[in-house]
Amino acid sequence: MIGPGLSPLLQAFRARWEALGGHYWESVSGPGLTETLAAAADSLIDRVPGQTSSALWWPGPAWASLAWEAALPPDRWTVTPVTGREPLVLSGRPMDPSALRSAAASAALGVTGAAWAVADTGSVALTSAPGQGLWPSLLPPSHLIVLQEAQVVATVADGLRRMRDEGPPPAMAKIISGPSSTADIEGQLWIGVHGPGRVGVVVVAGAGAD
Amino acid sequence: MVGRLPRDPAPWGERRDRALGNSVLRGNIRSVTRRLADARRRAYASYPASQVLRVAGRDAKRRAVARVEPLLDELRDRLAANGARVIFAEGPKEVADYVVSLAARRGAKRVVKSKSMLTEELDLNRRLAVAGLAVRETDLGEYIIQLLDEHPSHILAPAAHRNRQEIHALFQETAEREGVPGPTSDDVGPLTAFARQRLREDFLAADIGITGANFLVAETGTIVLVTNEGNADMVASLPPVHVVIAGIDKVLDTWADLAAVIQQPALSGVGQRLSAYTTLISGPRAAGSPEGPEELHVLLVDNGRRQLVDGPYADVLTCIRCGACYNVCPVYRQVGGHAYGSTYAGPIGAVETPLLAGLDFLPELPKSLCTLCNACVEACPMDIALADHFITLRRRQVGEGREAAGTRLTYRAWGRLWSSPRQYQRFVSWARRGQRFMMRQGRLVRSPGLWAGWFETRDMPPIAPETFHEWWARRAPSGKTPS
Ligand code: SF4
Repeated sequence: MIGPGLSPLLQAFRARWEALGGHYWESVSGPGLTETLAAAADSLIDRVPGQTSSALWWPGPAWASLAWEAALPPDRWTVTPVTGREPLVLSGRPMDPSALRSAAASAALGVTGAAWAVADTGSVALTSAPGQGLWPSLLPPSHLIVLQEAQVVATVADGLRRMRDEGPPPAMAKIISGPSSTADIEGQLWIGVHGPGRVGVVVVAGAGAD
Repeated sequence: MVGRLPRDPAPWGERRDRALGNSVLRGNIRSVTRRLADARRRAYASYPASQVLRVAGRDAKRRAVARVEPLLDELRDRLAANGARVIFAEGPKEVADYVVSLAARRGAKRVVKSKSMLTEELDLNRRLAVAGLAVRETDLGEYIIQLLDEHPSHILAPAAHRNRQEIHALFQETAEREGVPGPTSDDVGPLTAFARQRLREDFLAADIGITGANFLVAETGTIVLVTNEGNADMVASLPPVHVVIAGIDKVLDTWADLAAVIQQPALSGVGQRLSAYTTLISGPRAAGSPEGPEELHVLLVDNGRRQLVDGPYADVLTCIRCGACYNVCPVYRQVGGHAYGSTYAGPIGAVETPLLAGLDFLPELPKSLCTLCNACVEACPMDIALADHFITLRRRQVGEGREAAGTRLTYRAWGRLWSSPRQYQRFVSWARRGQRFMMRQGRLVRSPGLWAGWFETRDMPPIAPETFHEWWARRAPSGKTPS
């Protein structure tokens, strides 16, 4: 969708991310992005016909301008949105940690932003920065990440350096490389044991979302 | 201070025979080790940065071990500044006491854990259970062996010795006991789904989460956890209290050192460039954040490690528990982990166990569980001198008189007899006269004393009526070279 200008770094990221079992989409910002998100979200879950699916929407302050109603339309989704920065807002009310927890534990899909991504390993890093949490990336069986093209760096060391340059590390950060997996039973690879079994990334071309 | 490690009360011969007689264990261990060893080789071969990274990671670990005390102080100060409580603990009792009193203060009953070899080493689960805490292991393999009341047989695949049918029966039984639907079949999918469901409830209900640490970064006060399942993230972020229990050998100096070594557990362990989840924790829940534990406790455990820092075995402390040496070891591949009798198996376990717990602890490990083939040395990303350590440990066992008197005497006599040609020839002619008591159908089939074991599974041709030396002497009676 972005066309021939696709950077080698992004191509490398895509190849490794997909090799790990991650799903991949690209978009430019604007109305095309909500369409891409809608399609991506749909393809990451198993929908029961005639029923809406639950989603926890928390892409973080960098994507404050994204309208969740457009990406996850009400005819198909029941959405718990987290917006704001300090203070956070959960479904229009002040943040309640236990409500967030049960929303994350019952959602079919979590939508988050990202801090950076690594081409060399096909990884995406998320941080518990102000305004961004990690539960939507962990508890639902599917996880969709919105990533800016400029957030893709070459190596893990580059990503860690970027994180360090921003100051002391956050309380929690995680680098995700593909879906949750195990080979604990007879060495057979199985996807989605504790964390999400399906992870997808929508890469947004151009400098930034703001 | 030497450490205290758990041990299987069965003697080595019994542990060995138990392992060798268990065909499920042997088949599974063989395929798991082969798969992991192949994956590692492929990952290294297809990743241009692999060798540079490996050396940088090794150097970072070595630098850290050499300066472990100042780094631990820095780590403690950093973590404390980040809002964590840091405790230096000597051994199993101190660690268990701390967790038990923490649980009492919090009124906590339920504990979830992610995989930690150190807590195995400390026998923590048993100690916590004695104190009335319900402990749940959440790594899939650890969950299985906890239900079976067994110990891990492989560092990365703890339940490698069990097959699907056994696990299915176990989960059925668990489901009946807990009054929930069991797995729908013995395929990996339904088995995993069952565990996911059961463990999810445990995560959400837990009062305390316990994890180990793969690395600890002094510069920033950061705890690094590596998993593929994602269970460590749950253990660290869902319960209101997170307790990290880590050996003092896990400390690293700088954030840049972390970058150098962070891919190593996955690369050398399972042949991935990075684990599915690499989690970096630098403090408890931040102000204004709805997630994460209210309290973060970090226990830095010695249990026999400090005494190694300044000695010839310091490189053992750079081990990252990747398991690469297990997967290539011809002994481990035959007997699996339980035969080693304590927490750590494979080449590193055979070397490290007596170093941590004292040379009298499972002395058969360096003596009997290594062929000196050097495969582990080639595989180890940290270049730990495993084969050299086997030799020096054996030398110490002998030098310090730890061998049985009969063994010492036999070797001394043997050494004397074989150290000059004349003595050797005399030995051969005695042996030829004695060997008819040891023969059956023209082959040597048994022997007295130390050599008896050799003949348990094989025989040997007898000593020839005329040896080459004797023939030679007969052809050239003056000792000159025949032309
Ligand atoms: S000794 Fe080396 S190969 Fe073995 S587990 Fe430790 S780091 Fe890995």
